[in-house]
Amino acid sequence: MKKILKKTAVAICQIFVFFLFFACSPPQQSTVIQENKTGITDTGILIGSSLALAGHAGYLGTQMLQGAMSYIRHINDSGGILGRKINLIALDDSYDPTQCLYNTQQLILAKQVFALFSYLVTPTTMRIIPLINDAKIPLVGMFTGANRLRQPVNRYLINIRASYYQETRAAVDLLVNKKNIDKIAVFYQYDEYGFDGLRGAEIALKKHGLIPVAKGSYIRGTLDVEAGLEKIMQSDAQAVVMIGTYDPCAKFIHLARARGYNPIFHNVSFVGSKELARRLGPAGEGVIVTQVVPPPHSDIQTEPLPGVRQYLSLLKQYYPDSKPSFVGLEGYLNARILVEGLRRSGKNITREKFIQAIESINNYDLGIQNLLSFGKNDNQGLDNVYYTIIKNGELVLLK
Amino acid sequence: MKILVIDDEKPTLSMFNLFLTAYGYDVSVARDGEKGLDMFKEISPDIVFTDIKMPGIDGLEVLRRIRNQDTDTQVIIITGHGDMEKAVEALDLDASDFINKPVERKALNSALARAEKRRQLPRNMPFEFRSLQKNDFLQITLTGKLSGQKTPDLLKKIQENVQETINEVHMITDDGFSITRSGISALMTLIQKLRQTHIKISIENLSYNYIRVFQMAGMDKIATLVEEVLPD
Amino acid sequence: MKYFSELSLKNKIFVTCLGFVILVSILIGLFTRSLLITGLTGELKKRGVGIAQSVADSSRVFILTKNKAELTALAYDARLGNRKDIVKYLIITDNQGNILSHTFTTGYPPIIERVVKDTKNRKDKIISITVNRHRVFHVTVPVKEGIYTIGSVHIGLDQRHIDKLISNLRLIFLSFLSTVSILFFFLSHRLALQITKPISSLIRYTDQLTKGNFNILPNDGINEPHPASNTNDDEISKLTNSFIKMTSELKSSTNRLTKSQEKYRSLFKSGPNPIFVVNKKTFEILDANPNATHLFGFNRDELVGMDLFKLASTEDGRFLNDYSEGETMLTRSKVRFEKKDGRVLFVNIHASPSEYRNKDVIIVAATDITELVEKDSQLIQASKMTNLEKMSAGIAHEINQPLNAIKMGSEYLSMMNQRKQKIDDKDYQMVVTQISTQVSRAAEIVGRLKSFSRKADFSREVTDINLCIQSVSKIIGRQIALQNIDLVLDLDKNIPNILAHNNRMEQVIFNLVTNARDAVNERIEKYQNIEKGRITITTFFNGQDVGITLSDNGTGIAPDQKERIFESFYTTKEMGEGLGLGLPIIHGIVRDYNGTISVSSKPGAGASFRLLFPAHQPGGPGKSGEQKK
Repeated sequence: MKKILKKTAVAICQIFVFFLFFACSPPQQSTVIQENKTGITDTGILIGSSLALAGHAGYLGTQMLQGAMSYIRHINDSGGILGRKINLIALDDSYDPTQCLYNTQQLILAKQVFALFSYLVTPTTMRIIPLINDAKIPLVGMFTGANRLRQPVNRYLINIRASYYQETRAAVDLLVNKKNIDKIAVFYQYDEYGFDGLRGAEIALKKHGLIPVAKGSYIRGTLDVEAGLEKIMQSDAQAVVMIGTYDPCAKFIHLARARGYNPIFHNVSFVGSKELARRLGPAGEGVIVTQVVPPPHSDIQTEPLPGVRQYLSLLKQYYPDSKPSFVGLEGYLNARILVEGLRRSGKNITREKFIQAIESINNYDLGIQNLLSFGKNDNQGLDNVYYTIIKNGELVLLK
Repeated sequence: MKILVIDDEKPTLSMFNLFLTAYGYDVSVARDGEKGLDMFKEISPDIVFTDIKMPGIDGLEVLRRIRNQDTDTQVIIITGHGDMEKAVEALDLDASDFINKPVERKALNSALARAEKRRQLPRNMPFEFRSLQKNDFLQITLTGKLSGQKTPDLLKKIQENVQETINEVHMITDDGFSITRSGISALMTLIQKLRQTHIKISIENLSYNYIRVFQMAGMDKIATLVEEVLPD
Repeated sequence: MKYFSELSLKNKIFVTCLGFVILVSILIGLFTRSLLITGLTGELKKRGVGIAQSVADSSRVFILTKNKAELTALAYDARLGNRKDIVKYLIITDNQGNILSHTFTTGYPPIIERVVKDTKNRKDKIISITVNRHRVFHVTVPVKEGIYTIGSVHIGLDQRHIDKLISNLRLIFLSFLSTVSILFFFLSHRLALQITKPISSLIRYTDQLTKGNFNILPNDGINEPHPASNTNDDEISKLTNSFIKMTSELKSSTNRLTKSQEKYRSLFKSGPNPIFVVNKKTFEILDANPNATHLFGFNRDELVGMDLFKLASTEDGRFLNDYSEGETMLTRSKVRFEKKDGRVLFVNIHASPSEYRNKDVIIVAATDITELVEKDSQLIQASKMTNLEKMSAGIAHEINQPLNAIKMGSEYLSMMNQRKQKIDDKDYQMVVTQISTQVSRAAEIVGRLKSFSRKADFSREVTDINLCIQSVSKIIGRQIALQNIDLVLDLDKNIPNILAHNNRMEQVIFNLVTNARDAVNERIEKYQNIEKGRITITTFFNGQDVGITLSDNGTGIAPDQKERIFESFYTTKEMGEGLGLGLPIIHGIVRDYNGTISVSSKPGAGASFRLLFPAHQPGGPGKSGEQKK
């Protein structure tokens, strides 16, 4: 018995030695998470944003910014957050990812901003992800429903709006369930944004055991929608889920109606619903547009939601010349979340604390019938999708 | 008188020479038997002394050869120790006498005397005896050559002449007496027989040498041996 | 190493195997590691260079246009995807070393500025630096517009990538090694056990056997108890089988041995002869049987531990020194020993080697021949007496001559004196001288007689045979001559001496001469052969032995008699003439001196006796002391 014990002891010793061996070279430790206080001073919090501001392409950017700034200025004017005022530096990148990248680097490195805020569109936002990860800097609010910004969960990317997947899902659900349509086609911009939407549509359709009967696309920046239209028309699709921008989409719908093809058209929010409605004119009647925020205007029929009302009033206050828009409302909501996060972070605010603060927001009521929740594995605040339909050149909530 | 001495020992010869010359003899010497016989032929001595033990022809052979010649020469045998056997043999061969080495004067004288006397006597004297009755003993005188054949007569004679009161017999030998080997043993037997009848014997007038022989035979144990008396 | 040798077999096997495995593994590991490191590092660098070069290509335009945004994009692009692990940072500089774009999102370390500025003079160089506690290879690739360098691309290759790989490898390897070791630990353990367990059993079994316990049956640990039922063919089983066979053999051998030992023990105890067990090297007595103690007068305790030579008289004791290795038996006769009370004893020794209680010993058995030796010497003495007797007649005769001369001489002087006759001076001188001479002569004869009759002592002396022969010739020569026999001496003056006794040699020669004389006389008498008797004595040396030849022309010896003449009591003489002791005694004496005697004869033509004795060589052939007269 003693012998066996002895042997076992020896064996164990040996094993121990071996593991000691390998433990000799300690694996490279990942650098300790810095408690980064960049951009925070006693009086101010520096925020940075790079977005399209100039030219006609700058509509989205400007709108968004104004929406956000309304609220921010409101907060600042109210004393800031714990005595700190929010200073937003906004740089123009004209949708150029390269420029956006550069801008962002400048913001982080040179300007030393505390956090990034309200970026536009997928390509640019995607571009700066490495920077965000390197600097471990949070980005609050992106005007894009791209799946890649949400999955896999990157805690530095704080999405607010619902995703394209959710939008297309909502559309498909509506079409299939409510309209009993099973022949649905997809028309999409031939880029990431479009692909994303297509994928979302396919997933949504698959849930119903369906596939798109046709898929048509157009090259970004062009209006060459004919080929796509042709394809879709041949499929006799009853509905077309469209993921694109307002010009090509408007042309598509015009052409389709002109050729007597009148399926149900659906667009995602990114299309730029107001512009779409304007271009479509009467042809736009009945076109469904899913929205991630409620319509931002006061409707005669409906009372605007409290959150919306606040937006409208603040916008009027600070940017009286600016017309309310969906994207503006989004900007506004982004600002609200930013502020809420800052507030929750407390006095000794750090980027990490801020992120944790954001993650702690749960069922936050923004007054838009859309509870906002974040979490450790949830970096998207709003989940609800609103159905709007063009009626008389106006987008109204679909009942 | 001429004497021849034969002996292989040089010192002995010298001594003999000296002695006999001093006695007045005419001495010749020879170193061995052969030479001795040659000399004998040459000088015809009266007496011959010869040693028995010699290389070549021994003394007895010399004696024999001399006896074969018709002479009156008396041969005296010189014996060494342990030659007694030979001495008795010599007696059978009619040796005159024998003397023993080492030679004593007495013995030499005795032998010489006897030799001279015997020269006078005839050769081969027969055996005779005379008995004379004395007061308390019987005296018998012996002469001649006593051999074994003759003893029965002697015995008879003694026994006849012995009377009851006599228990001693004296035998006297004279110069002519000689005895043979057989004679010695017969004589001994005779003495034994007489002793059985309690008769004492004495033998007298024996030469020195004869006593020796008889002693050797053991006769001195059964009889009294008396030596002759010699003038110096 | 000493520790290793002290381990049990099982552990030895285990340690060796394990050690070997570990050693090999470590070697492979180290080798692989170095190989890998070199390879990976090379790969990394190559890749880095490749990336830098592609970036350089792409950035050319933008460097010219100083499009920082694009350059920044390029820089960040270089870090996309899985290149992120390799490329720690990328910097694009102009030809002055000013940074145009970089990927240090959080600020570039000071070392970079230095390095970048430095590389103005360096092109295509790879240096190893530490950035933010990461070790990197800093690769510089020039951006060329034609032959002009318009800028550089610097890329930092994270070695952590390699290190991680290496440590992963190491981990894998070590885990593998541990697993193998553990596995092997048990395996070799089992294997060793497989081997050593039956061996241990056998060892136990053997130990029991050594103790003499044959009754253990192999039922503890050894595989099969019965060889018959054993079907295994491996070495262990074979060993077991052989062992079992050996055991039974051993058992019966031991039984036989015990019985035999008992037998010999009883022989030893009850043996009629003294037996000693003597240490082969030291001649110390280890054991003695009761007879030995009885004979020698010591008791056993006194004898054990005593040096055997203490019992023997020194010179005879040396006999055992002659005992050389490998001789199975040694016999020595007439070795002289001494009893406790000092009395002398003669023994015949038989010695043979043996083993006694694990020591090399000699078993010395002694036969007491003291009586025989005494009788022997008595016999010799008796024979001497006989010879003396034979001599005496001659001696007496011889002595008589001088006596006679003395007697006659002195009688003459006496007579002449009595007669008052004058002696011649010459005669007087002659007589007186003669007397003196003859006295000397007589004394000499007496002396010879004395020496002849003296009892010889035991130690042999250097003897010149020629002298002996001459003495005998003096004693008996005259007598022989008287019997008309020629005694011829042909003696080689240069023969060496022998080791013998003068006295006894004279006896021997005397005896042979008298025998020869008797034979001659017999021939003359019996066969009426008057050829002159002749006895010839010759001495010679043949290089090894000294020899005497004694020949006569007597009656000779018949072939059938030749064998028997040396037999005791064998005689051809008449009753009362001879005892028949002469030749046997001569034979004994000759043998005593390590000599040989042989006879050749032709009946009717005489006999010849030949004696050979080993020469005594103290330094060469001996010198004859006396000159031959």
